[in-house]
Amino acid sequence: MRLGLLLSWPTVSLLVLVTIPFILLLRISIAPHDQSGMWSPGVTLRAYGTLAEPELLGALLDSVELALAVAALSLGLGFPLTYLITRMRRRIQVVWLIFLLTTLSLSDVLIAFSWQVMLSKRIGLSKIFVALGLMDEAASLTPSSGAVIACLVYLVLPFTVLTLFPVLSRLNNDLIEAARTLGASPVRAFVTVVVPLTKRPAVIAFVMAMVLTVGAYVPPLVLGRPQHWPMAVLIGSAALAGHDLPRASAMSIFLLAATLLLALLTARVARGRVRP
Amino acid sequence: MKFGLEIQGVSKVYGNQTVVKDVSLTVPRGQFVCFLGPSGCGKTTLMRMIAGLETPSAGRILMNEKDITKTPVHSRNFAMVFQALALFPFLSVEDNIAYSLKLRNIGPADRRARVRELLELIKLPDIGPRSIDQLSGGQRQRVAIARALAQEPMLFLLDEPLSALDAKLRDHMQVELRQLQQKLQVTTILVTHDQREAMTIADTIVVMADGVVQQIGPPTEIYRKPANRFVAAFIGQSNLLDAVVVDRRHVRLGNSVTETGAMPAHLRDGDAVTISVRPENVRIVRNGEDTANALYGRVGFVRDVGDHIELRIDYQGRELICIAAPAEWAGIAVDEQVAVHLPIDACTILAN
Amino acid sequence: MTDKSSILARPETGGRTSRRAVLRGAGIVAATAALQMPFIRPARAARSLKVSTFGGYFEQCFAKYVYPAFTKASGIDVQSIEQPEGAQFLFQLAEANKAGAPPMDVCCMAAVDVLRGRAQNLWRSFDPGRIPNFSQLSARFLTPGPAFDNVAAMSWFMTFVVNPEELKPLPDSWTVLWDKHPNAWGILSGSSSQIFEITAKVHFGSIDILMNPEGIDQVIAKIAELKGNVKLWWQDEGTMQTALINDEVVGGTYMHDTAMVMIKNGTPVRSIFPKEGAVESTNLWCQPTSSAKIDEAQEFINFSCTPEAQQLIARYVGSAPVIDRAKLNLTDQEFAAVSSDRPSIPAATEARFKNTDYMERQFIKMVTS
Repeated sequence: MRLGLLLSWPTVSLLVLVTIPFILLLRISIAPHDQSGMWSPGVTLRAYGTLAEPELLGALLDSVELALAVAALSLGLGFPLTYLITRMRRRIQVVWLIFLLTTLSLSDVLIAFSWQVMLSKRIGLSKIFVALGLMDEAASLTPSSGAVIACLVYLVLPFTVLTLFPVLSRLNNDLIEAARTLGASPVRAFVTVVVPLTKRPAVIAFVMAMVLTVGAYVPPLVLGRPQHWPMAVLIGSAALAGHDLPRASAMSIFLLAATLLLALLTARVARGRVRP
Repeated sequence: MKFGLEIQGVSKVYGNQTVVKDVSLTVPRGQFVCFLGPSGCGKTTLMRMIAGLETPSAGRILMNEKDITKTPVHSRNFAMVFQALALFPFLSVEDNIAYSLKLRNIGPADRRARVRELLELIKLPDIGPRSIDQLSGGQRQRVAIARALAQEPMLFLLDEPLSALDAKLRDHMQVELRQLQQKLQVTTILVTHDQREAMTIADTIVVMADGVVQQIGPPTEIYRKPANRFVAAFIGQSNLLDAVVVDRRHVRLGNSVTETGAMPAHLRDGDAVTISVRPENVRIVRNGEDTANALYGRVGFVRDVGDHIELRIDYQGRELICIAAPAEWAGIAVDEQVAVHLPIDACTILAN
Repeated sequence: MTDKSSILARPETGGRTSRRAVLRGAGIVAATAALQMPFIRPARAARSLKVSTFGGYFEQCFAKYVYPAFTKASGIDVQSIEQPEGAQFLFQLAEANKAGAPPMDVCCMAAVDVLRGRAQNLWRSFDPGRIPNFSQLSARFLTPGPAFDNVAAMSWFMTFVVNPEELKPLPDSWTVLWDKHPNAWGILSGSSSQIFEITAKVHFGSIDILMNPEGIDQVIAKIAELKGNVKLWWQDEGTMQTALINDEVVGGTYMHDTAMVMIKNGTPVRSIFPKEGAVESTNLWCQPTSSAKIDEAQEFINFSCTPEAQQLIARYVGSAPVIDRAKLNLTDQEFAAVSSDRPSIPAATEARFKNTDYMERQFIKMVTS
């Protein structure tokens, strides 16, 4: 009975898809570096010894800041957007969902390049900003943290909306109407009823946005300043250009641990804050 | 009508379906009005339009002579108790009740006092700190009412709030609700499909069918003088007999001509009409005791339910139901020939 | 391959490589898929050879223009195979070789990967007698190392690419990079960047300074002086191309052949071979030891060393020939599209093989601080 449970399909897939790659990662992180190959047999903690460098801690901080900013913006934009979509007519809802799903099919590389073009001086958004009187003259908006965040929010937003959609579309309308009859304006009803009802999925969407952002590689590389390159870029550099797989693995584990901690912390903070 | 709610020619159309058709009525201040009708008759939609949760397709709604048709829900100060109660599951009982007070920026001390007062009012003084899922059905009911009353609404709307309760508790809550309303003198509208509930509670009943108001009046009038066949059939039990107008005082029922009460003015001799008579008003005469205005029939079925006896009498292919005290009818049996007497003032003549 | 590599290996440029960190992180899955593909395709002729080159347009051009000429001359059928880029490839090739099933008989390697493969005994030594045309190569390609396990296939140049409308006069020296031009340049980032060679040559006389960590530190300190001038530390050519097209940068280090294609397409840039030399990188033919097609491989490599083959590579593949221009019938325009008569700075292959991780770490430290 117990053995059967242990060998059940979810357990097996968890083992194959998560545990084994993670064990490999752990193994490689304690392997000696091999200049010609990727790593060689043996055990050493050398790779972990290289982690305590200021630029790595700086990159970790950049990763965390980026993740928090993108997650907050994605939720801040995605939540009201999803709410509005669920209040639309069925047909229009479907159009929106298909549109959002379609953007998921675009590669992040393509999207990063599009943002690079969009934010350029020559044909970019800055021309529109100038026309609107928001900017004095056309200027290049990359590389910058704002560009990275904008691109990542674009990438993460569909996930946020699709996470929130089922919950918001099943939202008990009676509760909102009750709040309205009790004197709540639409905005107050949203804040005092919809938000507490959807806190859990909102936290999930927030954490997911953070995790997706922590793993983002291309957008910060193409659109960001090197000073703000997050850990993912540095891991890529160590593994692919530096040919130092053990060090890259150790950095990955470090980032993984930090991400886990961040997610747990977020969940904890969210649990603490109740009552409208 | 100077104060109270006034509805003027209100209609609601969804697509090509008219759910509420040209409704006009007034609810005087302090009254308890029931919207009564079968499901789908438009009563809930009408209430939602009053609450502001739906926009009328035509017509106006006035409160104390002020047009509120376009006033947003939250500015109307009409409280509503929903069929599913719609208590906030993420708030405690006291926070649910205090919700509207908080929105109105009432300070914590006053809030606490008012919540305590309301909990006393619903006779549940100790449940304030509990969460909603710790409450029984009846308790939830009361909390929902208390939450709605906290804001001291100008109009108190209830959308079939008792329908989920079991029969006994429902009876109890009906009485309690009526007492509460009388105590607070709050103008109240209750939507229900339960005619007994409406009869128990209401000052005035608005009977609706197919989006149209059928009759408005006090319960006794609705019961005794139904305005049409629908009302007669929907409210209580009624004998509805096809007849033809003979002259201003008589109708033909099958082979017999019988005297009736006042004939509505618009009816002409020869018009087909329906005679409505309540079972408890039908009188039966035994053993050839001759009576004026008698119809002769045969007992088809006897049902003795203890506190009364119900007879079904076959009269020329029509079935007449009558109810009477057991003492009067001891020993009556199937197939007995009887004379049936329809008292003149108990018959209502309805145009077909 | 997947969308990622196809976007990045811009068709017109011919995906050369491993030199360029083509958003490599993203391409790992794609690489695996591509590497496995050849196993499905059956060989067609009695004498055949599987040759791999970097995927995309590059591989297509070889298959369309170069291999048929070889087949015509030798009767050996060539099966063209796409070879993925990046560190994964060498690793997987080594595994496949150990298993005795290399996905190709001849592959086209970046110089530093030849050394990495050699360290794992991945390459077969050729018989010089079977490659008589080897001597036709330019002098600088005649020292393939002690084992004779590689033969030059083609070269490419990293030049000083500038927008002539924004920088006058046009630079003739790499030293202009260090002049006062705030936010002007786009320069390849990371240990594979030719800025190491450029800085070593221009400021320290030779690339030999890169052979030890102290020298690398000195070079990186000099590169750090560029930080105010560099707007874009690019890692894949698409980013730099977009930046050039959209006037995001005035100029920087870029591939000569790609720049020439951009010019043909109307982008106002010039590709300049500075007086100190553009940095020349060379790709080399190698044979995994477990490949059994020894004769065919050597015949193919011998063919590649002929002027005929080198002309095809220059004209159609868009890479610089590894035979002196005098032996070729290329027009001035054809030659200028891929190369220059000016002497070049050689790529610091040995130094990079020895110190890649150190160069990468120190470079990242410099650029992110």
